[in-house]
Amino acid sequence: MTPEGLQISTPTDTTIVLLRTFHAPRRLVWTAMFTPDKMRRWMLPPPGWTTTVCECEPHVGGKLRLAWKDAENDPAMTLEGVFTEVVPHERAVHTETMKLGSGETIGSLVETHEFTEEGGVTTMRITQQYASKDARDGAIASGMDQGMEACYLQLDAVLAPPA
Amino acid sequence: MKPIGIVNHMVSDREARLDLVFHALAHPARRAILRQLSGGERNLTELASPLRMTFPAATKHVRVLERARLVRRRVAGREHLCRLRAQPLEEAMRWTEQFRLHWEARFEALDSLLDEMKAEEAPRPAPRGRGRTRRS
Repeated sequence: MTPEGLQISTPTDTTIVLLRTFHAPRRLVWTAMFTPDKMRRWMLPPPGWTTTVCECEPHVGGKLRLAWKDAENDPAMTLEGVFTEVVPHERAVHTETMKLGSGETIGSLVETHEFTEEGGVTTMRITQQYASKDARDGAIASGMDQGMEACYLQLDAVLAPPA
Repeated sequence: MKPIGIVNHMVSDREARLDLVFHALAHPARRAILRQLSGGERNLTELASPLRMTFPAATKHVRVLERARLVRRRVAGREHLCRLRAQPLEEAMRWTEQFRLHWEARFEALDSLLDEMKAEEAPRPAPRGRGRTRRS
């Protein structure tokens, strides 16, 4: 089994699925995904941004907290969530709300991570599920960063043949 | 996690335009209109009727699409004919490509990190040469 490149799909109007394989046992992928000092290594902030807060407690009820600052704003953006479902090394579900430094909410979603391992190669599937269509559309309207994700759905909807 | 790497607070014409495009695409009625227009030029009545929408409501949506430069309208006699413009959609799709690139960059960083973690966890014995001590 060779690792595949990133695959992105939009199975429903409110979801995005990211699929990627890694040459590592899923235990390690899990640790890399949910341990703060490891997260800081791969969760690359935009140029000029610094990660100021990175907390992650991958157990049911555990918190996810991230914050970034830029030259003008501290924080420039925050992300907060709670883990609602955790099967260590297999599956984790957490909520996620992003806010601008001003406190304005720019989007909420539920993110599910699923890990399967075969012959030392781990496949990670991330499913991003918007709480509602309104939340998704609101996110699109409020900023490009959110629009980025949602536009996949939008373009899909536009370019797909009518149902 | 969100693709924060793509957040860009710089305001440029291009981004302002893309904002209009994403805003325009955010409404199901406007997506339906674009779908209809992908089949060719339509007048406003033709666009309004399958949506069970009043003429003024359809006009309002078409205006939003026009502002985003997704639709061009021309007047022929008493008819307002609308046509799809593909270029802003292509631009928007390049942004979706950015989304993919952003995640790919993150996952490549994750690849390197995982290589390190694997190396730390199981230091490989020297491949050859007897009597060499294993690194601690």
